[in-house]
Amino acid sequence: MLSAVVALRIDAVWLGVDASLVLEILGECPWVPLAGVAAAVPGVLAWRGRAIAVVDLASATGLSSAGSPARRRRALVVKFGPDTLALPVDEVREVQEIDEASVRSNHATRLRYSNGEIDVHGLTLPLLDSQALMASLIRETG
Amino acid sequence: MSESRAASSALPSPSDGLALVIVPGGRLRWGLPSSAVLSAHAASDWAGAAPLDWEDLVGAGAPTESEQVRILLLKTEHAELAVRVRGAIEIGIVPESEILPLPRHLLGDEVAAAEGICFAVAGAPLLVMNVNRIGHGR
Repeated sequence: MLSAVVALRIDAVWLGVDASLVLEILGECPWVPLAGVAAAVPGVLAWRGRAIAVVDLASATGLSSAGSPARRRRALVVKFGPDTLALPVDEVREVQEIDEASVRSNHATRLRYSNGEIDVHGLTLPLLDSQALMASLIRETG
Repeated sequence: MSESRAASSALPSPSDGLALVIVPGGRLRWGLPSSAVLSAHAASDWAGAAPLDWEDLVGAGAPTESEQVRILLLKTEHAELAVRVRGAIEIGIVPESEILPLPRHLLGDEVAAAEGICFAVAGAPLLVMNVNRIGHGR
């Protein structure tokens, strides 16, 4: 059950991620780009003795972005299903508790792989549908 | 490693870890198991079959500008493969426990030739390659 969200910004776009899926918020971290891989998963990051995939949300969710994921100043480490991922982002706000009943269908926001939107921090955020995102990434690369 | 000499014979004991011939790159280098590298040659001395460019094989884009060009003769399961590499080749040993598996199901076939990645080295991380799969999946 969704009870808290982390608001994150990529370029000018804010979106929300289920806070229970966030393992850690890192500062700027030098992940390693890999040649030839899909733009949505451009490289890997060393994290707690593992190599985890870096997911460029701008590319994966169809946001038009002038920014390179390599230049983003923070990274969220998240656990989406069985996969631990790093999401480079420009800004992160503190965890915000929410009432699940306040999640509504997407009207004011548009984001590929979103399963609703919510108002937090004075912003209307599309909520990232992590399951749909992962299904898409695996379909794209598999 | 001396020219035209089996790389593996010049390396410390494999019990120290996995001996690698290291191909330079920018933010990422490539490690070839020394047991799969038969010899290294100055490009000007190479008289064998036309070598393949390493950058093309691994999808690394434009070649690195370097005056040092070497031909590595690799031994794969089915054939010998000559590849042209640029830059200073190094030899290193990494503990096998430090070679981390890649999330292949998210990275796709483009990393099919990589056994894993090693961050626990001085300098840029190493993508440890399986020479038998180089060029596959591209």
